[in-house]
Amino acid sequence: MLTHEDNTLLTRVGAGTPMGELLREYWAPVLRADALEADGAPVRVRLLGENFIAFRATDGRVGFFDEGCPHRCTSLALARNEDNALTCIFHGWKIDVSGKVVEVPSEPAERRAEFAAKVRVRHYPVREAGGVIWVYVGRREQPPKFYNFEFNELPASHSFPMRAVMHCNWFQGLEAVLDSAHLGILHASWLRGNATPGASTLATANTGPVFEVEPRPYGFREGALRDLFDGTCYARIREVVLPYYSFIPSAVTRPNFMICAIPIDDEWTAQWYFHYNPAAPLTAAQRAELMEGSSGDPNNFCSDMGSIDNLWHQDRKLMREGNWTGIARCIPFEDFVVEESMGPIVDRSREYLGSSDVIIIRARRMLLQAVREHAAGKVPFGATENLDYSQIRALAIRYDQQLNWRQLDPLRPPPSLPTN
Amino acid sequence: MLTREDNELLCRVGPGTPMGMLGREYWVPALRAATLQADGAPMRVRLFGDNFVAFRATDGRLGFFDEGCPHRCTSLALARNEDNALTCIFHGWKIDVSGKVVDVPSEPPERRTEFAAKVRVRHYPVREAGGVVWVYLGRRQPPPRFYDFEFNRLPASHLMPLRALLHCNWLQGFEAVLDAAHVGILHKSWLVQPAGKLAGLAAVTAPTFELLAKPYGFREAALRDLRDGTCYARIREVVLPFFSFIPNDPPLQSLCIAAIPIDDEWTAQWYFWYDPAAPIQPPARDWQLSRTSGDPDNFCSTLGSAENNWGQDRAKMKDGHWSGMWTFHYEDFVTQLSMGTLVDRSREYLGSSDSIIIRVRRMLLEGIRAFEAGRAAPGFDQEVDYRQIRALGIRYPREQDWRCLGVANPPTLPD
Amino acid sequence: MMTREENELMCRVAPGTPMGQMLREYWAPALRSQALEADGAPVRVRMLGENYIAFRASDGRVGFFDEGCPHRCTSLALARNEDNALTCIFHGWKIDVSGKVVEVPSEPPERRAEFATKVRVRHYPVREAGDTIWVYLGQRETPPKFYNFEFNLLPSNQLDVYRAVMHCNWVQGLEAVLDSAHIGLMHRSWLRNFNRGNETMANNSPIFEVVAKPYGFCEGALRDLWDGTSYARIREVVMPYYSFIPTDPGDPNFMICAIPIDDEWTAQWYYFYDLKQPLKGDCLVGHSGDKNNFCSSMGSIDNMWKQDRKAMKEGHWTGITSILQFEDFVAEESMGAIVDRSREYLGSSDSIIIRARRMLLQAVREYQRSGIPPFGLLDEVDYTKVRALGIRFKNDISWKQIDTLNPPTWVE
Repeated sequence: MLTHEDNTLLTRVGAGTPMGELLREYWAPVLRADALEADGAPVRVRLLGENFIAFRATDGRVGFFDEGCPHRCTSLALARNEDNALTCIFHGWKIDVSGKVVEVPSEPAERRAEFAAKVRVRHYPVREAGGVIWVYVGRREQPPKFYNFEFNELPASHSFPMRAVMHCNWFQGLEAVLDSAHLGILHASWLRGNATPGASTLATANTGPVFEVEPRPYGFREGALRDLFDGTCYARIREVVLPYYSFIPSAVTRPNFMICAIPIDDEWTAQWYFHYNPAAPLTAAQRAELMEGSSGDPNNFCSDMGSIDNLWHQDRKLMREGNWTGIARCIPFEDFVVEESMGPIVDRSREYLGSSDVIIIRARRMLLQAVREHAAGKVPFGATENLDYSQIRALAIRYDQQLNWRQLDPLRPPPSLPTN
Repeated sequence: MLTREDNELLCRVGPGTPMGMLGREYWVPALRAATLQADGAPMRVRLFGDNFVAFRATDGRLGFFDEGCPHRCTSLALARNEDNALTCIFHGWKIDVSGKVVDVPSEPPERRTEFAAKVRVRHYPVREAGGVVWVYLGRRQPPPRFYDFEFNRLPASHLMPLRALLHCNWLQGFEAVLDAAHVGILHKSWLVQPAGKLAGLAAVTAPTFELLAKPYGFREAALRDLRDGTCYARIREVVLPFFSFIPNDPPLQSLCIAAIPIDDEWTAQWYFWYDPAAPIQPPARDWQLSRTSGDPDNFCSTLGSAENNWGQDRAKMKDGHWSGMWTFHYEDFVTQLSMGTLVDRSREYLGSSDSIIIRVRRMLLEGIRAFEAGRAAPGFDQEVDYRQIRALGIRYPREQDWRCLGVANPPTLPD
Repeated sequence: MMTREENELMCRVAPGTPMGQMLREYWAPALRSQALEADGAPVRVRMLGENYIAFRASDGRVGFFDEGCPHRCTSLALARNEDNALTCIFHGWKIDVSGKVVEVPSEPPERRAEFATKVRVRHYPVREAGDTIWVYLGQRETPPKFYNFEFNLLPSNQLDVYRAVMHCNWVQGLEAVLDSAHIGLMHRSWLRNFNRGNETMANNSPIFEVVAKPYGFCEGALRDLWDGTSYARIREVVMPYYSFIPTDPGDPNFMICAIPIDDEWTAQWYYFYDLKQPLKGDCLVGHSGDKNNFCSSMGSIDNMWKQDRKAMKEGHWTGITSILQFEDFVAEESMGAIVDRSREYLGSSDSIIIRARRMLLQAVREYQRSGIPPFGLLDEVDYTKVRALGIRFKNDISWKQIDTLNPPTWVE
């Protein structure tokens, strides 16, 4: 449970807010790379309560600017995209993809070069990796080292990034992922009815896991441990790279999996699902399975999920017939619905938390602490250190109770005991 | 670039705001006369953040009242319109078109006359001219002299008033018109079919500007040197705070554009097309309307929104069309709407091509401050002959001075 | 006419406002009984600017909770409804219909029982009567005595209950009902059509007299008729919400109340009831068809509530032709979501409204000072004696002498 003051501190993310100023210091994904075509339409992007434009130049480079033309703020979503530049349709001001103004036809000919050199365009460093456009919108001269997560170093064929636009605050998006206790409850029907038996069915065998945490410079590593009452233990070990990135353990037969909640503004969140296989390209069948039941649009795979006005199409008849939630399209929708239904910014002063919420409580404390550290000039969670993120991977494993989960290496784990 | 404070002062137009109070002191167009039928439905009108009703009485006179019945504020848009009066459907209070309450059936019979005489109805002077109903919402008694612009004195056949409802602040609507530098750039695809004189226009796209102050605002020339050694002056007239006369060449008609504040985020952009010399024939009328939604009371209703980039067609752009917008007017609207409903002018970087805009902002800010301090605002207490105001596009020998040229004194050219 | 400040004090009802706090102390209708099925979908209810959930348990009892699960605020509109409890789909927390948490599967097994007892669920006393689910949202340990209005003691077949969701503040809803002067004026086309209320229309400016009551007041709208008799419409107003409207003998009795949803929306409830025998069919026709929101087909200001100008030219007074009640709603909605009462000019026909406003302002100020809810809420009031009446009588008695439960015979 949080005071109103702390809740505000965690949730408000616009320019000038303490959390907003902190979060802009981290690289964040904004678009699937295939949303941008060379010389194609620029795309509007809203992030941390501000509006931007992304585009792909003629030679493939990506530019990311404030949405308004530096002249008089006409939207660059309307600009012509050619010659490795955006040309505003209003007065023809041309801004090359590196953010430099190269033409100002509305000025007298003899003054153009000098004038153009003085115009400051708010443009931002971008990186393209793993099929995704990432951006840094912070205030520092030098952005932090880019995240060399495993999936950022794989060819596009090995990844499948999807994004859902949720009508709730980013922190609800983050908590949806940090909360592992709900797995065997909220998603019970999916796990039990799962055609291909996976490790996750074990989450229903013990719905009250014990949580243990290992601090890390970038956040923490968490084990959700379920005693199976037969001498073995089922551990779901996740890695959390704050402020955004959670690596979720999946079954051996399924792609690896990371979710992050990126703030669009105070009431909307881009919930990204990164699926990837370090070992081999994803097949068409795998991609289809990942999208199954969703809207079919990887840029917003929950666009037809409904809203509170129609209770997200919850089906009471299915519930009477045994389906737990009545939200039958896909697992992520169950997550989205419970979070959206709390309201666009949930009032955390009305909560009553239990031991199943320890990770959430910890994360809130860590982020409130981070905001204070940032106000004092630090950039928390190792952003200014030279961390190696390539070794980060989640793990789900059933093992003999003699073993200690903290000593398991997720990149080289022992073989799991049978999980079905 | 403006400070946040100055931007607010210029943009906020609701009740009690400085710009709102100043703006109300000028006659403004409210709606097209054709939308009001004698004894027909009253029409709701929103201006300066307040709501009104307009109606045409049985004998043709016009009435313009606050929207709420003086009794308990039920909307008079619902009222019965008959007997040269509006009768509120709630308690039958009857208000004649002159603004007097003439019946209050809910009061005891013996007290009605006396009671009715005491009820004050907020009603406003109206004028019908140029096919448009104009209203004065200010406090002066008597109201200021009505604008006898050329087009307000022509028969209906010479006129074509159109209105677009823009989802942006009034100042964006006004600046869209003041900004002359964009014409050869934003609209370049439309200017491709030149009528002789315009062919030279695209050659020199950075004009020089000169300005002649006037009691009502100013006269401004955008001067361009043409390739043939003559000068081309597009002379506009600006009647502050709302009206711009735009120079056009035949076969286009004369044009006055006004950006009238509906509220802080909406603007009625009026286009007064008129021909002083002859009636506007159906083909010309059809042609004008064809470049719009077709609805003269909101000719941009097909414009779309940010969600679909206002219908911008990228394929057309790849084929060579500059803006991808399907009409000239929509090009103007889209550049303004896409700035946001109330643009943050602290984020601008202006150039010499923006000098008129900079100047007008300064004039408006001075006007607001003068008005707040009790002094006269532009155009007040002046004997202005609005009939002489007409914009011109003229080509003239370099030796002549545009300031001396006009309707009464046209240029002399070799060809 | 009121100052802006007074208007705000009277109208604003969200959490933390003085009027909102006061109004919560009164039992109020929340939803129609028929809206809830045993083990069916819970229904979201918004009252006084807050969101709640109502549901019917397996054994028929009704529960009424804050909408958000006590755990982490997920909406209980999504919860499973079975075993006389709501089970939140998120972590399976199970809350029985009495508001007690009985299962917390996300906690370790050995700690569940103890943990569950510590969780406080915000739940509210409900009563089911008059085909309605009533709720008390106030702060008192023991809610005030429930309203034993006559209709609350009747079986379902003698009741016909409707609710309309109006896009305006609750005081506009209340004033729509208190204002009787408009009846013969605004509703004239309906009254003519049904051959009703000829007495009302014969004299459009009645004299109003008021008798104070512990619960509000009793108002007589008196009309001198053409023949030495008088016609009195005697209404009873149980503040802050309930107006009993007089009807003619032979017609069902009738009560309207305006219950705040929030500052800009109001649930306008219509209760028709017959004290002696079952009602024959619906009392209202021509509405949306949904008794839970019978004005959902009415339109809005964007289409002028479908006002028919052609019908007006042909003689219909208002042009609102679906049903009489829409005329009331339209007049009030068209004032705006919260009408600016500083722009009014009231007449003698508004004396009851003026009085009611004064009573409300006085009540809320007194409540702020003393904490005691006004209008006789904590007194022993017998609401079975509250009944409205429309009656014609010889001028040799005063209307105040008429006992509405035992009136003199109708004069022919």
